[in-house]
Amino acid sequence: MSSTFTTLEIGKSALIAARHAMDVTGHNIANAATPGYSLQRVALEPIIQRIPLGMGVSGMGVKVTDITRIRDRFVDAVLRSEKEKKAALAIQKEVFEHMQIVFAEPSDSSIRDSMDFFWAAWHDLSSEPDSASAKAQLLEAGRSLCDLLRHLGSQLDSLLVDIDSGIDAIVAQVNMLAQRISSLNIEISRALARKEPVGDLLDKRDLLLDELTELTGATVNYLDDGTVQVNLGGVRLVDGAKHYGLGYARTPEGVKFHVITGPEDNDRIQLDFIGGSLGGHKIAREDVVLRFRQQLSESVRKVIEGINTIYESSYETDSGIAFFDFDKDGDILTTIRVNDFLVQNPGEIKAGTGPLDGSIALAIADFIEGTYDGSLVDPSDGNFAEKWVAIVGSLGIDAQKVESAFDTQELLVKELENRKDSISGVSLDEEITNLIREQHAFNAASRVITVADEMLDTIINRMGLGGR
Amino acid sequence: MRVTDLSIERNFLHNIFKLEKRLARLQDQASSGRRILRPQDDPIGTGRAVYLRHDMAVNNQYQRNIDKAKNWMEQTESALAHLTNVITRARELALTGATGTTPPDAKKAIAVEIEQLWEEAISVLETTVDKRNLLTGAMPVWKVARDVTITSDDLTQLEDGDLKEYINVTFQQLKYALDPEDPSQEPDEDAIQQLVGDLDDCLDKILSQRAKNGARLRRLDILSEKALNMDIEYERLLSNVEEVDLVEVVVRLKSQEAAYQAALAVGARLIQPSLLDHLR
Repeated sequence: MSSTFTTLEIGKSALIAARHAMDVTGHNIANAATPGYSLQRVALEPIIQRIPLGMGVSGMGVKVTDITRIRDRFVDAVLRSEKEKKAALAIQKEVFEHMQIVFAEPSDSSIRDSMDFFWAAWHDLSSEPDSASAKAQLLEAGRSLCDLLRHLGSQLDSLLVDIDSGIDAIVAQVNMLAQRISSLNIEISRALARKEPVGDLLDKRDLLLDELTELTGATVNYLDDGTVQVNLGGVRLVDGAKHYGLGYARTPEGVKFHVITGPEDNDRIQLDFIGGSLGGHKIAREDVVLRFRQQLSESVRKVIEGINTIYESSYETDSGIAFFDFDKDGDILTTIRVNDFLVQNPGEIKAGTGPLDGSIALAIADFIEGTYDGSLVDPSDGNFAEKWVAIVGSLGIDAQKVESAFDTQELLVKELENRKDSISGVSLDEEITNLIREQHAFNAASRVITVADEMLDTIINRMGLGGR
Repeated sequence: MRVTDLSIERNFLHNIFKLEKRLARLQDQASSGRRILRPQDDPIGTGRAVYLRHDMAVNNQYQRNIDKAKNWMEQTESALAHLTNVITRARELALTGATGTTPPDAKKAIAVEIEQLWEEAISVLETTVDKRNLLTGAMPVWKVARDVTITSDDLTQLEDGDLKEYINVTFQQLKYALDPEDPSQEPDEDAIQQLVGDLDDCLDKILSQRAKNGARLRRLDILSEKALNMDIEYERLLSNVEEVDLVEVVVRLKSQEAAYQAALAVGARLIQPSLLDHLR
């Protein structure tokens, strides 16, 4: 038999449980817009008491066993890997947009336009080989071509500097995140040992993990002791309470990332692969900016060297001077200028071998136009317009590819986020419904206590008064 | 599937942003009048647009070259026409001098005029333009189309000798035939008669050179007209590739605008209400 006060106890447990549930609901509502928050639910369980003397079991009310956090790790993993790809594409898309502004096509103020002016100036000189104005015009066209090329070169270089400082910032951020994740690992395992609720700590760590995977494309292993391992291309970056440093080196072949596990040089483990925003930065740097810069400087170098070779042939001796000067071992885009002597003495510009001969000027013009038929240079080195169109065209195609890949990825991420939300997100309508239900439960439990109270009142105050 | 407030908000924003992006692009197109603002808008079209601009620049330069060449040929033509006049006048004078009725004094006077004409003929032959001799010597070369290079040639170099030399000799002989160096001699009317024939010969030669020059001019005219047509054609093609059809843009703008309004209206209805509105 249960005690007289059992009903009161049952009512009390129900009141406590309802209050608890309302707290959780309130917490959910309060965090409806908190990034990374996962829905929490109270786990209720009936209290069962075995009644002595073999009379079976009897319910003794309700208890809160746990506050569960609703989260699906599989959706997490899929979402992280898609978000990582989106981040990699986002930076590429941005860099492509910048590149297209730098190349300034289609417009009337691009390198192509400047080259056409330069080409036309050689034509004018070829039909008036000793005209001072034709020479001055050619000199100006040449100088403005050089200015534009140098400007383009420095714009591409400053784009590289921007990307590099982005890499710096991300690496610093990754190291900070790794450190915070490892310290959260410690906190969580301690809380678990003390059997404390860890939902909010897990949310905090998952948010950091989201950020870290988005930045680097890292993968996450959840261990049974509540801690996580973070792997970067197969190399461990965070392992329980330990975390290692991410570093990188800029080499001529590109940026190389490594994980620093100790103070020695051979404690550096090279990473073969890196994804996420960091990987996107690497691709943007090497596969976008440097690749197009390389293509452009190669085409420019061939054209400029060809022009120089043909121009030098207008001098009878070998001591002919070049039309353009540039650093032969270095970068042509940032060092090209018109020969200083010619700038100082425009009258010395030669159009041919004699005073009235414009054949060299015409040969140079033909070379630029791609119709050169001499033997001094390879005609295919010229034809700048065709090379330029090829570069601008592939820039456009690649940019378009990246943009459409980004749009697809964005949609995919959005869908996955909705899926994650459908599991872990807070629906206010749902919480309010729960709240009402819990309120009713609370009211009903109160009624149970009132009834028990009335019953006790009857027993204590009204019983045994017979015959008074 | 549970639909949470955040996912309603996310979907709403995603769609609104997508529509706004499209609206912004249409607005860019409408206000700039251009369909391709960046290479990625149409990579192939961009390639064509860039090439067309290049072709236009090239064509413009060829037009300039054609104009220069034409200018040269026209000056040549006027020099040759002047030379023709000079020699025709000399022939007329020679004919007068060839008749016996013309008194010796008059013949002397004719000889003086012939000498003047001779000088005039030589000066025409030595006319220079841009430090170049128009009819003799170094000729400029003009590239007037991608595969056409045009030059004048030395118009005084004929198959049977040098025109300048021929004119020189004829005039000299004519002068001395009219006014012999030896004052005791009479002007030689037969020789004058024969020299009139030589002058005719000269005129024939000049005429054939004028015909040659004229043919070149006609060729330049044809090239010039072609280049002009090409220019218009390039403009047309470029505008096809690069420019927007405003009507199309405005129609699309209108329909996007309607979609945008609808999305906003639906979004406002979805986001606002909650269960709370219906609880007492």
